Amino acid sequence: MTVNTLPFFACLAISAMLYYAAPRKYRWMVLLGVSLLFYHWMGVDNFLYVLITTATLVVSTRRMQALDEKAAAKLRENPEGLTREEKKQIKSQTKAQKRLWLVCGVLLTNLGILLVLKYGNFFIGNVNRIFEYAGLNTINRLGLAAPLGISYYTLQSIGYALEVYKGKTAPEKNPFKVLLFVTYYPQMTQGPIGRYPDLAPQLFEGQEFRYENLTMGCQRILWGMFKKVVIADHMKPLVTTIFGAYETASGFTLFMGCVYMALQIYADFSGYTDIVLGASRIYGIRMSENFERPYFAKSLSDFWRRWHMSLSSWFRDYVFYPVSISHGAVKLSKTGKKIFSARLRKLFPVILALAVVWFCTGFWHDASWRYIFWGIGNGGVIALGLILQPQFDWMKKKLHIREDAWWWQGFSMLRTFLVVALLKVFPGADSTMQSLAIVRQMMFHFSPALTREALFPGMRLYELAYIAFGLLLLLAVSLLECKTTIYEWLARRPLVLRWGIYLCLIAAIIAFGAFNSKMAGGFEYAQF
Amino acid sequence: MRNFRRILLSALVIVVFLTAFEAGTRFVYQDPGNLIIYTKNDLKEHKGEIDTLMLGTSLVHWGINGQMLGDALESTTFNLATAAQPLSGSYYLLKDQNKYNDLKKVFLGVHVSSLTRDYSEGIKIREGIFDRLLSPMGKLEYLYKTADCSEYPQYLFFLARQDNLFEFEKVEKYVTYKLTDNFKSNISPSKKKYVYQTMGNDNTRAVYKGNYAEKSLPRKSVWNRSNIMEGNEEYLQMIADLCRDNGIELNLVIMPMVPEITKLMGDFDDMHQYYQDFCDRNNAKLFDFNQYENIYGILPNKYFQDPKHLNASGATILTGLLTDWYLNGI
Repeated sequence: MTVNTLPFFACLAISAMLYYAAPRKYRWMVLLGVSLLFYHWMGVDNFLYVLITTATLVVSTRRMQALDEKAAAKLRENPEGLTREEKKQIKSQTKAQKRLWLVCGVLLTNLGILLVLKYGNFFIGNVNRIFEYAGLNTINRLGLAAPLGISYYTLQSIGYALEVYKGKTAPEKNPFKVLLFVTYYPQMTQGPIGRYPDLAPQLFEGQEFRYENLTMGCQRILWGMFKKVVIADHMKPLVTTIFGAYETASGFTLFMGCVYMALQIYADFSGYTDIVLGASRIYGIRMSENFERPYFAKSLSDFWRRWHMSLSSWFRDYVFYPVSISHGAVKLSKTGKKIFSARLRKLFPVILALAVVWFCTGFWHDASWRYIFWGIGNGGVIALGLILQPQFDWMKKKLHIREDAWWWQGFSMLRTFLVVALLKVFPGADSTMQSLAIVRQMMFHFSPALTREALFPGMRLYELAYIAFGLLLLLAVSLLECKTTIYEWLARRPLVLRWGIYLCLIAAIIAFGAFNSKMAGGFEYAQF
Repeated sequence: MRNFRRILLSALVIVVFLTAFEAGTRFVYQDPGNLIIYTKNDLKEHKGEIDTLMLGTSLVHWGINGQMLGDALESTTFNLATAAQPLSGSYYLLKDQNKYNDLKKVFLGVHVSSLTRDYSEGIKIREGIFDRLLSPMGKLEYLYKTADCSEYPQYLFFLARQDNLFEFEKVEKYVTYKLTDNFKSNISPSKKKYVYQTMGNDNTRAVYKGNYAEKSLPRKSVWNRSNIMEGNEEYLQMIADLCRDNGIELNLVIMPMVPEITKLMGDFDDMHQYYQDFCDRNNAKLFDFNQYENIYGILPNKYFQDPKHLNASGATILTGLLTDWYLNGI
């Protein structure tokens, strides 16, 4: 059962009724019950891993809090008798012990599980290649399956532990509430990766029923379904056909494949996010947004601030900032004084942090070299943009280009979209070698042709009509959302028009939707 | 309470809209030549009268003239065999019809593919069965047991199956016919090659010209016990159990095909033995026309419309043979 299926909506409706029927202080239990049932229905047998994650979170965060309390008590007991040095020592000792709990209790255990389950075979495959080359016996591959959503709930859990470690939030004492935070069912398979201070209070406090939440939630689900079944699921075969025929397709067709994939993934993932956010809204829970019209971004770094925002901000807060202010990074900024300019040296910590973040982002997506290349590609373009910024500014000044000119803004958006689309050459292919073959094909055999077969291979006319209709509507809504959200816009319309739009959307979903796609997890990002 | 009323009203509006939308699009887009329309009407009209049911794949659908069989057996026979009908489909159709009728006999067509084919990919095939189920609970059970949940809208909404939304000429033709008295009297538009379209029966006068037997052999259509799929075998047993529990006589029929294709389909003696053992265990009768003496002499290729399916004349002959075999033995 995935979030775009009728059983999910039936489950949502029944659980929402139970949720609001239950006394407020027990409402979180309804959510936990449904989440566990959902996990079971998803066919995930590896619930043990979720329990381990929960247990490590409960124990480690409690220990961290106990250490904090112990240190505070020591300082309180004898405020005058302790020297400044002694106070400092107590604090640093506490920090070191807390770090031990964070690293051993949470990071090593949970990242260890993730590494073994998701990346184990990747490492074994690479080691085996070296062994084969050296004529040694190869290692057997692991027969372990990673639970669906492990990449998401692991990051969410680590985020929680880090917040407790930093003392920004108090740990939850009830292990079942922590389990709910880890397994909250709408977001379990693909996020958004929730932050504990935002999400947990909403989950644990029973929400009051508000009719507005129900209507907003349903509208959002409807719009998400439209994006998923009308756009994404119709574009999927087009993308698969193009990348599947990479040996014979022209570079131009492969380039179009990258463009289609960029649109398809957006419709798929943002559609999923809308459904999840809408479902949560029905319970009165407002989850963090994951997209903000990403294809209106004017640079790649701007794009990543608007795309998969929960993941980008997670990496920004928990990887980028700590790495860029780490001792190593600061040291790096002081090296090569004779070779590099002061401006460039100041960028070294940022570039180092970018390298780490983008390697991790690529690797987080999938255990394969092509995703690592994809990550490096993204990081490389962003770093290059930073390094060459003065040159770009100089050029714009020379050419009298005004940043706020409409044509320059349009050009910047197109440029960013093309970079994003071209980088899809890595996730679009089935293997790293295939990605490289596609790149070669695009570079040396581009041969543009404006025929239907070259532009939309294997697509029937009606499917193209559905896609075009879907994309036009998506564009119109995105343009409208530059000023206000579509939901607020709708709320201001007369009842008849509003309901007319709802019913038309339902009709469009039924008439134009592709329903029998048997994708694992239902959505593209579920595979990560 | 005010919120509750608003929610209820909204849900009602949506349900009414969906129902009207489904019915409207079915009226506009469903081909009036589609047998399902007439089959459903006949099933509804003859509720409580049907005592003999024919189930199975297109081999039975085309190959046995239900009306003729019914006349000979003095029973009201309905042909509910459909193209590539899986045994799961036969089971749910039987269960559904058993709710409305006092069934006495079932003629279930079985062959190689009944047990060896994987039906999970054949959504159109399964939809055809869903449409023929009358009871809402039967439909829900069938949906739950045989369909992936991502396919539910495909089953529930007729429009979700259409890929001819913009073929307005066809729409005009369909709607024009559906407004005629013929359609209201449950008469299918005349097609040159087609004959009799009542009580689930239809057939064609087309004649097999030979030469494409190999091409028409689907994958896994070679009899081999290792190819048998557990799910199919389970449903065959469930059919037998359902018949036993409801006092329905179960008859398995193995239909003939042209010799060019039969020789490509593996060890038919072993298949016969498999079904015979099944019948012995379940107190059922087996009518295996591959074992019928001089079957290729009685039914030469001119009685087939293609390598596998009998035409109208062939169906008449085979129904006669079956009736005779059933009533008098060979």
